[in-house]
Amino acid sequence: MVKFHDLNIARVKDAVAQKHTLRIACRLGYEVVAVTTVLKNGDELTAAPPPIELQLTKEEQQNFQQLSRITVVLSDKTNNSYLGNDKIKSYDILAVQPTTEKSFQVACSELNVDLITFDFSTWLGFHLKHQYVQTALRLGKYFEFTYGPAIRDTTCRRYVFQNTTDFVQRKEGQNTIISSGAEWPTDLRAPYDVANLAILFGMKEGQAKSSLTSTPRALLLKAATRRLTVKSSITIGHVTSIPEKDKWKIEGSKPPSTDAGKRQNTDDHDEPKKKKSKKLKSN
Amino acid sequence: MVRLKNRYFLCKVIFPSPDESNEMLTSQEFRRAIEKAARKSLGSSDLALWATGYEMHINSGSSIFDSYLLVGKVIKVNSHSKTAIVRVQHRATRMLSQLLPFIKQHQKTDVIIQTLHVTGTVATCQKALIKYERRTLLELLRNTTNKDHRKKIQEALLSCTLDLQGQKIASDNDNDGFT
Repeated sequence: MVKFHDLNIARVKDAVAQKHTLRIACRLGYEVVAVTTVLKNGDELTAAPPPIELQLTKEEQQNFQQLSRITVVLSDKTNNSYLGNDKIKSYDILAVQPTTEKSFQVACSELNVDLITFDFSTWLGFHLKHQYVQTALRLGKYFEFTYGPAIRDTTCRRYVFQNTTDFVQRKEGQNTIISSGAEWPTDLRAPYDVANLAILFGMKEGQAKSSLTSTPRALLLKAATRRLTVKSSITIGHVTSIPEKDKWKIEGSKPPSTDAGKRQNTDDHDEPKKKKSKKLKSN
Repeated sequence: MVRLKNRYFLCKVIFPSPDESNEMLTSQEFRRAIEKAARKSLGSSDLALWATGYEMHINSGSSIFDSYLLVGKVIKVNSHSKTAIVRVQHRATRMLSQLLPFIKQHQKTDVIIQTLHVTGTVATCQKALIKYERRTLLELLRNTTNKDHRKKIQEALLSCTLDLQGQKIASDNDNDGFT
């Protein structure tokens, strides 16, 4: 079974409303959900808050996964040096939202981020140049668009359609994820309905479904390599964190240290030879 | 004789408000909600295509399909489980599937409409509905501890079988499909 992802649900101050939104998302069939904190210029950076406790049933709790995400709003003046910070690494996904052409170029080429997102509910203010998009794709970065504003407001809808169709044509639907950007539960829609909407935005049917299932999964794996690995190749973990069934790998890799063990091994090798010789004599 | 192909949408209407059990789903209001969304987002030619060959069934009682109200459009609504069946012409299928997410309000309360299944006949649509109901009942049964509630759910589970509905499916099929 494929898991449906919604990697952008806005963090709201009202805890009860937040719980309700997440519960509705679970009910609609989403299994992986990320709660987004938006960091604008001048805001104080804090570590990732713990996942919100939802009173779900046992089965729902097993299937439902809650992640944290930070979206940094980029402008020309922002200092990007803190993006490798430990506090930023505490979030599961790091996304940037460029507001100018220069910041879009920087986000596509220089910054080590997982996801580039845009505010499609208004006019962007710059053109998404093919050259920058291609460099971002080559570096394995992902793009996102949100359908929430299109449902919320009819004036926003026109801008969302205009921007997303243009965006999908440019990129041919590669490395794109679709998320809700929901502040209220009414902005959410069921996964298959969202796939239908994506066809309206100009995506093909297969792309529309994979932008909710396999592409976000690949994005999460990429984010994990950024956070937890040394140059995307080595991870370091404690021995106790290894599950029971995989412990034989560590025991098997221990070098044989005692002499007694060696002797036993040599005896074992000799025995079959003797047996063979006995057999020959009997014949 | 030309067979007009239709598509049947099985929709679930979710009321995100905390007092969901008080909300009532009526077919007329549901139709009005669809029409409102269609008028807002479709052009006049699309609206005409969507409105042709579209009838309406209402259910107000305990069984799934009680009475039919033909107003040139078909919608079957079950007010207990908050599900509805919408019929459109085959060529307007994609249009309706893309229209349903834009429905925001039903009787001035916020709603989310989830498409559960799209089928070619009413019979298969009904089968899908029964399957869905069984699944929700089983989930309920797993999560309840109260003995009386469990008994009621078990009785409901036994009553919703395909054999019981088989006769009704046959009677439904006589009414539509061929012109």
